[in-house]
Amino acid sequence: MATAFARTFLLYGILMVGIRAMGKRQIGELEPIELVLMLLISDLAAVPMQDFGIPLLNGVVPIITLLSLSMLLSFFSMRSVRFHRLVCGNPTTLIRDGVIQQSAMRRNRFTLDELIDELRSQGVTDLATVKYAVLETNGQLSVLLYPADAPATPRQLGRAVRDDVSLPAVLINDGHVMKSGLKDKGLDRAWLERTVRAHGFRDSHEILLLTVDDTGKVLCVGKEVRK
Amino acid sequence: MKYFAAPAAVLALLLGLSLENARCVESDVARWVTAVEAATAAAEQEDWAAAIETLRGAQNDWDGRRPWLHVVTAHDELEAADALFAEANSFAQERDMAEFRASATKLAVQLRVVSGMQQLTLKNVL
Repeated sequence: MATAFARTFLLYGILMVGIRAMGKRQIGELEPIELVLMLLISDLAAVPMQDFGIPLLNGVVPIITLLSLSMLLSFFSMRSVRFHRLVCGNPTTLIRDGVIQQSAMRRNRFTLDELIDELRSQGVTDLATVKYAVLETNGQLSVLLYPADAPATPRQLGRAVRDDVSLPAVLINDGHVMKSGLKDKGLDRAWLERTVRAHGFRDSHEILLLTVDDTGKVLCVGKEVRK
Repeated sequence: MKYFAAPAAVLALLLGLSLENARCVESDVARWVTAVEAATAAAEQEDWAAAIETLRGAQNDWDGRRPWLHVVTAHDELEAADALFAEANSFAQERDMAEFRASATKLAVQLRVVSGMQQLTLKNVL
């Protein structure tokens, strides 16, 4: 029992560090080789967690080896486009100018039903409105509509728009002051305390979220009072 | 370059440790097998005291290395070797030559299995 607990604890720690070192990609965006890696790692971790007749190292060494190999593969993929294509493959155009590329569909074993499903999930019901549909290497379908069928942008309409998009920095997160956010925005603790008081709070512990954007606009959300 | 160096270093370290472990286990097992063979030879000359002493020395040495072997080897194989050490010891105490010889041979084979499992050989890889 205690062995199971300790082994699970250790393997969880190793997996957490390893997966963190792999990068920030989400499961749905994994390349095929990365998906296989994740499946292998989960299986390798599960066996020594349950079977105490196997040394923990028999699970840990393959996991670390796989993670290291994966990092090396990523390194070589970044360095060489050809290597990346060899490992991950190429995106394939399944619809070009509204015409289904049947040979490409066959090569990728992508059925018409799957294509129609994917288009429908992206709000496209009329195939003739699709200029390009590209099957990406991670299995997702990118759909580009003809300009006449796509939502118009202000640029296409010849309208000038003010650039008021800015990334807000979080200065207080659940009562904790984010020093890095303050530093990034060139603000100090005194400014923060003034702002907190100006919003009717005594100190940062009463605030759930406080952000400030490039224009100086402050968003302040107080914590709910617990009953 | 650190994106290459770090995983490459980890792989090199793992390979190095694996090979060093294989070398150490092989050397230990060779020592224990030699002791078991020496115990058998002593028993064949009716020198049971020497046989028991030699076998006990090998077993103590084995017990000393047991924690490390437990970390790197399948536990079933170690338990089988433990049982064979106990069995050989028991037959030596009873001075039963035929049983002792058979048991000592099985023990030597089992110890070689423990060593063989750690070696980087084509047979093991395939």
